[in-house]
Amino acid sequence: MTPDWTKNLVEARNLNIRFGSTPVVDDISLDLPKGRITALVGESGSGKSLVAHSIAGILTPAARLEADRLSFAGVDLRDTKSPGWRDLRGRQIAIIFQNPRAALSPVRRVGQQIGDVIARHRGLKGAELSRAVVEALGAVGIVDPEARQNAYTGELSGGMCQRVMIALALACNPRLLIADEPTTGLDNTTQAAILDLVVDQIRARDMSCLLITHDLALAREYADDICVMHAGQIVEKADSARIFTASQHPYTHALLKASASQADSIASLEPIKGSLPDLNGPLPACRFANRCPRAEERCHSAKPPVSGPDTARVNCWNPLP
Amino acid sequence: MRLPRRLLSAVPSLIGIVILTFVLTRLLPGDPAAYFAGPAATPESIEEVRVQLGLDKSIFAQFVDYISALSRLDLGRSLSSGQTVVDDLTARLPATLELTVSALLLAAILGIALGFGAALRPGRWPDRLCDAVTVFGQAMPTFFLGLLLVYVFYYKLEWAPAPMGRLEIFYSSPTEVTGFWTIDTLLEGDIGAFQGVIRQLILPVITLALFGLGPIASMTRTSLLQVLGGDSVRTARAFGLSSRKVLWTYAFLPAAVPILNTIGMVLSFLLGANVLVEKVFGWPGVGAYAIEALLVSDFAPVQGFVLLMAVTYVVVNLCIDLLAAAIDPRARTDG
Ligand SMILES: Nc1ncnc2c1ncn2[C@@H]1O[C@H](COP(=O)(O)OP(=O)(O)OP(=O)(O)O)[C@@H](O)[C@H]1O
Ligand SMILES: [Mg+2]
Repeated sequence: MTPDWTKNLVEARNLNIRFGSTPVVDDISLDLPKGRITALVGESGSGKSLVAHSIAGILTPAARLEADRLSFAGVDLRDTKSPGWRDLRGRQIAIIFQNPRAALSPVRRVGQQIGDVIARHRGLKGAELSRAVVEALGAVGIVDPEARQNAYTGELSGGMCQRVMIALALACNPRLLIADEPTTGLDNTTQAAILDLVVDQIRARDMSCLLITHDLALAREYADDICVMHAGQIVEKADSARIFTASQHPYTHALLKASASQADSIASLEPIKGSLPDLNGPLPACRFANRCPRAEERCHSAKPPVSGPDTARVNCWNPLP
Repeated sequence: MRLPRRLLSAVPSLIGIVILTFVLTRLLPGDPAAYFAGPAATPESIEEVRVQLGLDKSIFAQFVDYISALSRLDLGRSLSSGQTVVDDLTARLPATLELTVSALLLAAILGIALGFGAALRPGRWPDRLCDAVTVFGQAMPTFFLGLLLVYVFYYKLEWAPAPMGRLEIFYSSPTEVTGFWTIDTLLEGDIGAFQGVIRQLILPVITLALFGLGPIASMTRTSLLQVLGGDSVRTARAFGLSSRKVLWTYAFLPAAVPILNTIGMVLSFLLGANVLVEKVFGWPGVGAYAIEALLVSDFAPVQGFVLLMAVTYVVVNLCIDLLAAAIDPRARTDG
């Protein structure tokens, strides 16, 4: 099947991912429109990476994926073996990871690794290929790419490895970049430089981006839309500005209060009550119900309804006004 | 830069070996002078021989003699053959090498293939076979396995030729060019002799290879599984690289160094195991030579054999390290 670029890049409907009998990702629906940066925010363990991996086609074999729809530009992503889908990965969908040093091969020069991807998708060879590799490295602000292409990851800093990873991801001008916590583990200055680079490149190339982070403040700074996840469920999706001024879900509200950059002082910081529910045990219909100050009877027994326009959607029985 | 430094680092091991073989021969029971002088010797003639051999000198002076002889590649003379030890070893080394190298190649190829199969299909039959071979190799003493194979395939089934050397007597042995008779017979175009050489090789090679197969297969499996489950293979897949590229370049290459080290270790084992296996199969190699010399207290050949094996061991490990560094930049820590 050939891609249909008039559609949303990613459309996921009722996406479920389970490990054995553990339902980790629960009935998620998510659209990634063209030309926008969507942040996926949530505590550690809420299933953000699993969602990213299901789109990138790298779920571990142990994970069971079920969805009414999971498509990229109209191409079904559920059948990871289909040739149409294999041609998309790396070409139209690229992903960068939290630990770039581990994500790159330690035994291959970084230029060769970028060359492998370019050769695979753009069919370049010889001098043309080397030129494209140097160009890709230069595009992400690596000084002296001619020399750096011969380095191994062991010889580069963490920030430099992430730049190489970004160069690899952008080498074929994909339509979608998935960035799974790309700056966790880097120092603050490098973190800002890397995110600025990613966002500049996304805008310049008119790409879309799924930016995964657990940091709401960072999401607001870089993303157009913010999608909040809790224990494998999406609880709210809205414009990034709107989330901060008019969050509707009690969990989003609690996250904001717990986030240092939002609080006026240390004293007004409020940690979120409780912790993520044990996914192996019996779960309430809304997985936040046991932690929620506004929970009602029906929150435990029935899936919360989805309400609101596209720019401010919330999955809650009892949203904040 | 790196190569000379690595070469230098082998020097202490070599010095150690030289000292060890010297001490070893002084520690072995018996009086060499008495042996050399023969059974009918008088105390005076033994003393004469002792002076001839330089054994009356101080230990330090003896060591100096030993070193200077070594530097002239003089390892003394074998009592039983009357030849110099160097000549004997040189004549017999190709037989040992052909056997060992064939066994190592077989073990490495089968072991890597088996480990690959096990890693790609964990829990399925290649994985089980991998386990079975490992357990078997560990449980079965090599010489016993050799005897068993001879009993079954020569004595009972009569499929294999008599375990007596490199070639049955009714073939003419090839003129030595490489010393590897498989190659030399082919160079002469003597297909019959070539087949004869192969037939003689099969059982001892299998004996030695079965021994090395287990460690190589299980290390291949472990190392490959670790890389396959890691982030860099996930990246290669996420970027749509072909399965072949992922498997060889992104999985096997980073997994290669532990496998290579295991192959080196297996080779060292094989050098030791050779001694008994050559004896079992009547193989005219250096191992059989050494054990025959040891049985008649002919110490110079034993000393020469130990020295040769130790040097081989050091050289092999040096090569393995260099190869590892060529494949994997993480193995270049001393550079
Ligand atoms: N291979 C696996 N087997 C069993 N459970 C798994 C496996 N991988 C992930 N999980 C479960 O899925 C849940 C979500 O994992 P995921 O990695 O998507 O979280 P995340 O939101 O990305 O967290 P983080 O911020 O720590 O990266 C976790 O609670 C984890 O227990
Ligand atoms: Mg994650």
